[in-house]
Amino acid sequence: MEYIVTAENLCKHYPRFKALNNFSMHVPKGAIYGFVGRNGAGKTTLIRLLTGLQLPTSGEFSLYGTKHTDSAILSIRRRMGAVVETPSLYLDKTAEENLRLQYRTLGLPSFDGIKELLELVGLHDTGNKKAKKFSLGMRQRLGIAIALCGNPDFLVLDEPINGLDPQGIIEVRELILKLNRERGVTVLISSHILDELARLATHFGFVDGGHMVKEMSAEELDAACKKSIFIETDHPELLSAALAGMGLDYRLESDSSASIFSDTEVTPLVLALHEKGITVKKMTERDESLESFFLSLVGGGSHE
Amino acid sequence: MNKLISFEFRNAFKLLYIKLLPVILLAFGISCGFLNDSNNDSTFDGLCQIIVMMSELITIIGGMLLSKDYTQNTIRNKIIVGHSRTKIYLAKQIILTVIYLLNITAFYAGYTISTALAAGTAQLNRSGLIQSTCYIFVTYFCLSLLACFLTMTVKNALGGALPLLAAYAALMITVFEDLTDAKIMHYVCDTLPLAKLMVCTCSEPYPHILRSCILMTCFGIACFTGGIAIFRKTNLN
Repeated sequence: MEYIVTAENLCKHYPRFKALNNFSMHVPKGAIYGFVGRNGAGKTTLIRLLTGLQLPTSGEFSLYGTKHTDSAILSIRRRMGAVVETPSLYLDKTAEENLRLQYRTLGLPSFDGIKELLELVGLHDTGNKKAKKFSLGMRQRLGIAIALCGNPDFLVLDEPINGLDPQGIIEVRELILKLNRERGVTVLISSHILDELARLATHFGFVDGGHMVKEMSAEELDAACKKSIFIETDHPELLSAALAGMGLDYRLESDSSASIFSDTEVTPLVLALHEKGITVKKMTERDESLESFFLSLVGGGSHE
Repeated sequence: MNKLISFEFRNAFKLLYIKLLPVILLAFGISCGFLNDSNNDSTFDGLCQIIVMMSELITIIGGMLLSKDYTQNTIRNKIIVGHSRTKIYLAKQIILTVIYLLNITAFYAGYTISTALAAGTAQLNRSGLIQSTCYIFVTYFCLSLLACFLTMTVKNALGGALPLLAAYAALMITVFEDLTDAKIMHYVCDTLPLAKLMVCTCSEPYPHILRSCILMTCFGIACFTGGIAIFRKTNLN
C-alpha cells in the first residue's frame, strides 16, 4: 500500500511537556484519515510538524516518501494544502484577494480557478466584504479555499468544522467527500466531533498522550465496534441480578436499562426476563459508537 | 526566491503608508533645507541630526510592515506551501532594507538639494559631506538588519516597536560613553547603528567613521545570520 505520510518514533518535546512521544502513523494514499484524540493528545502538534511550522525533537516522518530532513521536502509541500487551527487570512482583504495572494505565494502564473474555488466553498457572493467581517464559518471556508489553491493532492485539516453551523458542517463534509472521490485528494482531518468523523473517514488513527494508540480502517472499526441489544425494563432492582444470573456480557446504562453484548436471541431473552418478573418495555439493536470505542481505547479519565 | 521577493514588494507597496512615506520625507527634507539657512546649518551640518530623528518614523513603519505577517499569522501560508525559512527571511530583509534606504534617500535628496539651493555650496565641506553620506547609508543599512532581526525573532506586534526602542537605546548608550570615557564604550558606540550619527557633521565628520562602518557592518551581518539561524529553528503555531 502506498502511504502519503509515514511517521516513525516521532517526538516533539517542549520545555515542560512532551507533545509527541514515539509517535508513529501511516496515512494511505487516497484515504480520508480521521485523526481522533482528546485535547492535548498531540493532534495539532503533529500537523504542525507535517506542515513545517515546527521541527521534531527526534524521530522522522516522510511525505510522499521524502524524509523531512531532505531538502526536497520543500517542493513536496507544494502538493499539500493545510488549515492549521485557525485559518491564516489577510483580514483587510476580500475573499478573492486572499486567494490571489495565495496564488502569488505559490508563484502560480495566472489566477485561473479562483472563481471556481470560491463557488466550491460557497463564498462566491461575498463581493467586497473584508475577511475581518466574515463569520467564523465563512473564515473556516475561506481557509479551506486557500488550502485548495494550487490543486493539492494532500489536504490537512485541523478541526475544520469548529464553529460551523449544521448547514456548514454538511457542506464541508460534502466538499471533503467530493474532493476525495472526484479528485483523489488524500485528506488528513482531525476533529473532536467523532460522529462527523465516523461519516467521513475511511481510516482512523486514535491518539492519546502523544502516542498513536491504534490505526485501523473503517471496515476494521466497524467489525471491532460491538453490536448490542439495548433493553429498558420496569424493574430496575431485579435487572442486574437477572442478567448476571444468565451469564450474559452486559453493561448497565441506568437503573432500568442495560446493553447486552452477548450474542443471544431476543425471544429467549425476553421470556427469561419475564419469568423473573421483569417486563421489557423497550428493546433496540445498537452498534457501538465511535465515541464509546474511542473511550474504550483511551479510557474515560479527565482531560486538559 | 524571485517570486517571494516579488510577492513581498507587491504586498508592501500596496499599503498606503508605505507609498506615502517617501513622498512625505522628500517634502520634509525640502522644507528642512529651505528653513535651515542660518548659522552653520548652511553647510549641511544639521543633516545627520535630522536623519537620526527620521529613524524613528522609518523603524516604526518598517516594523509595522514586518510584524503584520505575525499578527495575522499569514507567515504560515508561506511555510506550509514549501518556501524555505531562509528565503522567507531573506525576502523580508530585502524589502525592509529597500524601504529604509528608499526613505532615507528621499529625505536626503530633498534636504541636500534644497539646502544647496537656499544656502549655496560655497562653504560646503565636500569630502565631509561625502563621508557623512556614506556613514548615513551604512548606518541605515545596518539598522535595517537589526530591525529585521528583532521583528522576526520576537514574532508578534511588539516586534514592530522593538527596532525603535533599540534605536533609542543606541542613542542613550552614547551618554554613557561621554560619562565613562572608557575605550570599550567607544567601540560599543561605534558598533551600534545611530549611536555616532548625532555627533557626525559635514564640516567635522566623525573621525572614526571607517572603524564605525566596519564594526556596524559586522554587527549587521551578525544580526542577519543570527536572525536566519533563529528563524529556522523557531516553533510557529
